[in-house]
Formats: sequence, structure tokens, C-alpha cells
Amino acid sequence: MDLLEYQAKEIFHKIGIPVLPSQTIKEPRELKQLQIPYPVVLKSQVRAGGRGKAGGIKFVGNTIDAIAAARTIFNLSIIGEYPEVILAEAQYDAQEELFLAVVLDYQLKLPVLLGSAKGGMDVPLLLDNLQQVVVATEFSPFYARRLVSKMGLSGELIQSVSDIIVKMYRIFQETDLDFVEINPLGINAEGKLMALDGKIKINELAVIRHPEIISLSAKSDLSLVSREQLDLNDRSQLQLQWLDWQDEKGKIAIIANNPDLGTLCWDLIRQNKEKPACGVVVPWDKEVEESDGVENLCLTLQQALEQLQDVKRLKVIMINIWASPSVNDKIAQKILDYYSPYIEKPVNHGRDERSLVANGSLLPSQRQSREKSTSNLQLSQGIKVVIRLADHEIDRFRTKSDSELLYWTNNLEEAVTQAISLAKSR
Amino acid sequence: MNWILEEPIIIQGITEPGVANYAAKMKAYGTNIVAGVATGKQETTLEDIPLFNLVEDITEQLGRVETSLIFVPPELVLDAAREAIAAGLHYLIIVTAGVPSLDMIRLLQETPEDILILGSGSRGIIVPEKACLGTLQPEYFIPGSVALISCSEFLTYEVAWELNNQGLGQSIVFDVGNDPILSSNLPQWLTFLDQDSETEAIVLIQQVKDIEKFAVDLIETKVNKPIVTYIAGLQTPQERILQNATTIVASYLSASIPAQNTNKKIISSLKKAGIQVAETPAQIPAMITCKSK
Repeated sequence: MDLLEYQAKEIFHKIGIPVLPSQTIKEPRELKQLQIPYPVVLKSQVRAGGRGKAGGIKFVGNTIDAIAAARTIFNLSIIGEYPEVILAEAQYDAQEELFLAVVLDYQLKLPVLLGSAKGGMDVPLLLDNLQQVVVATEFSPFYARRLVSKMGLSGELIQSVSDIIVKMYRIFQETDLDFVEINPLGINAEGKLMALDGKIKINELAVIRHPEIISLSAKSDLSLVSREQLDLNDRSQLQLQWLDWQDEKGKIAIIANNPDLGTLCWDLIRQNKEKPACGVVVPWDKEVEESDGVENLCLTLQQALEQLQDVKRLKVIMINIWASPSVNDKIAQKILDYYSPYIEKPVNHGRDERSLVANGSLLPSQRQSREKSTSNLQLSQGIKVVIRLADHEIDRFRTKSDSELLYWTNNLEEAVTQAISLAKSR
Repeated sequence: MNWILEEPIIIQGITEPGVANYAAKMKAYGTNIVAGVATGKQETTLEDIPLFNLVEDITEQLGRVETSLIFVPPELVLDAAREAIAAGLHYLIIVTAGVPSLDMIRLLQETPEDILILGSGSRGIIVPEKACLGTLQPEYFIPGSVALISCSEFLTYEVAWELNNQGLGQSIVFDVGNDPILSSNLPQWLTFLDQDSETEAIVLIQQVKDIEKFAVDLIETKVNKPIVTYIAGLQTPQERILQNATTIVASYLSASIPAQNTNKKIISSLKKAGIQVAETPAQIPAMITCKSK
């Protein structure tokens, strides 16, 4: 979870890192009651980087200019994000600008201190001068002094900048951060330090135990819900979860009971030179499977089927679900019930009807004989369904639905081949 | 292997929702579960497993214990692990997922080298028809000589399904977990399996988002037994998770640093190192049979 600049600065202020007097503005009119003397800086409060270059920071000398500038900033989106708040801040005459950060390095599995004597907006220059100190043991202020010395600072700055880093590390540790950054840390002619901009990212997994931070950004981040709420949602109504990728030209939709299974199906379809349209995960929980939650799960599956009927150009739904055999029975029944109005009465063709030729596609003569009846479908718009259940006795479902609409298999590759051949037909 | 098959095993957090079911399943499978930790409970047993307030109460009353399965809520994992280590346990499987990253880092920093931790977010270990530690479904595995190391429960089932269809059973199945900070690393498990007499070949199941570090570890570790890897998500436009502090900072500072697709390069470097890369789970059995001949 990323905090906005003004939220980060509140935390800096509490721990004793110097910040400038500032005020948050929710609409341009509020600038009439500004408590900070002009000239001031108006800063768009968005999470995206590169804010200054995009025009999200403006220097103003009086109320009239400030209101005009604020209007512009509120209407300026930075990488798709409009600010809800503008920070009005006093100006600072920085002679030098430093970059400081404490970052959790997932590769080293350790916190790392980073610093550059060339802070500010010139990113390549900043990175060229970036120094790093790995905090390999319990943190102690000497790590901070080591970084400052590597940055090439001298004199009184060694101690004063180290003190800032020590405070940053305290925030990092106490609030479970992934990341805290001050850029720039301004140094004025008298050698006084000032955190002019800051970023804080809280570890997603730890947000839950920092209610003070949640309240800080409650309005700006709706994704935050307490664990109790999450648990309630999990139990009563299972939410469909869509895979992150979509393809408008795709003809096959995926339903799986786990994101990794969805990913696997996506891979297999793409490897066979076909485009999946989208994927949806029906959240499955073994604990739910054991209690009476199976009916809920089946309802979620039905919901997924219903929502996919609206996807344009869709020709095939491919289902890949892993569950115990008794649950498979219920899943199959749900699918059969859902499609029963469109399935003709069983005919005595036996299973030869769906026997595969070597390349996995259906025998063409048998396909045509059924074309007529299935093309009458209205609700399902002729979307066919390939169902892969990891069940050793998959045949028991096949005989129940003697139709071209539903194809049952326990072999994943066969399911993919079948889905692709159906997507390519007609 | 003794710590999996024979030594007594305890469960911390046995009264958390759903855990009693897993405990009963594990016991029924023949796993040597001897006790559970549940602080301040009135009941003295759960699923015929005796309950204790503290890990050290168990070691005092029942004798030495080597292994603990940790199911406590994420924010209590660090404390539970410390308690187990203080009581003299050597093997911890952290089943709980979503443990705050700094807690895991603290745990790694203070854990002595002779203690092995799996997870967090590990679904455990299975030795087919002998022992089941954790939440993997044992019915999807059959005994044999292929070891699986995985970070995904359902991809493990898919791979086992394909292996089983070709009569290739499994010697042992490890789920290393899926949390951002994992305790035990790949080299440790590879070395362990290389020495394991029941294992003839190793299959690694990995996700594309973590492929970089995975490849480095895999190439650097010397293993004599044949290895096949399957990497899921190569065809998806997934964002790579940034791992390294400098890269994280650079991407923060400039939104415009292009994400490089280095997957092809990584895969060819794996192949150069003699590691077979399967494109689908179904290709894995053939690669194993070819190589072990």
C-alpha cells in the first residue's frame, strides 16, 4: 500500500524528520484560507512518479495565481490518476539535494539503505551516484554513518544525515514498510536539512496490524478491509476473481478453481496458437469443500457461466476444476442443470459419438448431423463448454449429457485440443 | 527423512478454523502427530490429539519432538516459530500464508543454521502412502522415485496426474510456499534430494513471476540427478515481481523504465546448464524416462 506525500510527511513529522509547514487542499476555494505565507508550492497528491515533469507541481506567489494553478492540477491526470488532494507547502531554498531510502530487498531477504548525493529529478544522475549498505544484522546507527560516508558527505552532514536515516529505519521497522524514501532531502545555505518529498510503501501482508495507517488513508484506499470483513466475505458469498489478462479477439474463456490453474490453461491455449479471451477463478477452498459450502461454490460456478455468456465473440468455455469425486458429481450436476434446456434428450449413439481422431478434433460427419439442433440455442449463443475434471471416472458424466454442447474429459491436453478445434469451427 | 517419517510431529495453532480436519486427515494417513498447541483451551484433546498450552510442555511431558507444523494466524507466526525453536525443535513447516515480510526476515536472521524452515505459505510435504505433513491432498500422489518441488498446490496436482498416468510415482513432494520471503531456499532442497536414496529424478514447478532468482539458484547448485522444470505463466503478460533494492528504487523514480522480457534468455541459460524445460505438464514424464535411461 502506497501512502501519498502528505501522509508520508505526517509520519516524518511525528518521528522528528524536519518537514516544511504545509496544508492539504481539497478544492481550489480553500486556498483563500491558506495559513502559509506566499510564495508556496502546490503539489498534486498522486502515487505515480514523475509528477514534477508532468506538470503536477506549481510555484505560486498569490491567491489568484494559486487558485488558477490548483484548478489546473486537479484536472491533470498523471499516468491515469487524478489527485483528490493538493498539498500547499512553503518554499525552501535548497543548495543541495540528497536521495535517501530504506528498501526491503527480496533477493537478499534483508533491508538495504540507499543514498545518492545527487538527489532530485535527474534520475540517471541519481542512479549513477547511488550507494548501498546492506543491513545484515540487527540495525545500529553505524550502518547509517557507513552509507553517508559512502555517499561522500563530510563535516557536520555526516551526523545530521545519519540521524535522518536512523529515523527512517525506525519508521521502516515499526510500521512494516517495503519502502521509505526521501527525495529530495534539501540542504540549505546554513546546512539545515528538510524532507521536501517522501514516499512510503507499507508491506501488503502487514497492513492489517497497523490500524493507525489504515485510518490515515481510509478515504484514499478502498481496498483496505479488516480481516473480519474478509473472512465474512469468504464464507458467505464467494467472489469471482478475474485473471488480469484479457484479449478482445479471444474465443475461449477459462474457468478454473485456482489462479495457477487458470494460468496453466492460458499457457496451453496460447502454445497452440489460439487466443484465450479471459479467465475467471471460482474460488475454491478445501475447508469449504468439507463443510456444506459446496452448494455455494456451485452457485459461484453458475454465476461465472452466466457472466461469460455476455462476452463478445466467445465460442468456447473451458472449465478446469480440481475437486474430490463427490464434489465433482455436484459440479457436473450444476453444469447439466444449467444447460439442460439446451440439451436434447439422450439418444443411443453411445460414446463413439465423441471419439477422437488422432489430432483430437471431432469426426466431421458426426458434427454436421448435430449442427441443426444446437444452432437453435438462444441463451447460450452457441457457446460450447469443454469440462475437464480430474476424475478417474469421467465417463459417468458423458453418458448423462449426450450432446455436442458439453464435452467431458479428465485429460487437460485433450480439453485444450477440443476447445481449440471448437473455437476454429465455422 | 526421519523427521518426516518417524519422529514425533506437533501442530501449533491446531484450533484455528479447519486445522482439526487436516490434523485428522494427516493422522489417518499415518503421520506421527503426537500433540497440538492451543493456549488456554478447556478441552484436553482434539481429534484424539492431546492439547497443550506451550510447546515446552509437550517436550517435557512427551519427550523430544523434532518437527512442528505452524498454522497460527500470520501475525503470530514469528512468535510461534521462536517458541518452537526455544523448545529445541529443528524442523518447522509454516503453513500459514501471508506472514508480514519483516517478521520472516527477523526469523531468518535469528534462526540457527541447523534449523530447517519450510514456508511461509507452504502446503507441506508428502511422502506418498507414508506421511502427509500439511494441507496437500494425498490422494493425488502415488509412491515412486520422482521428487517434486513446487510453489503451487494445483500445479503440483497437474504434474502428479501426468506422472501417475505414465506409472511414475513420487518419492517425496515439497511445497516451498508462495509468500514473498521464503525461509529455506532451493539449493538446500536440491542438495537434500540429490542425496536421498529414494529419489531418482527431480521435477521443479515454478511460476514465471519469480523465475529470475529460481534460475540462478538452479544453475549454481550442483545436482547429479536429472532435473526437469516446468514454469507456468510463460505465455501470460505477467509483470515480474521486482526483487532487488536498486531495481525497486529505479522503477519508483521513473515510471518509464521498460519492463524487459528476459524469459527466453533465462530459459536458454537453464537448458545450457543441462536442465530440461518442459513446456507443459504432459511433457514431463517423457523427459524423465529419457534422461534416466
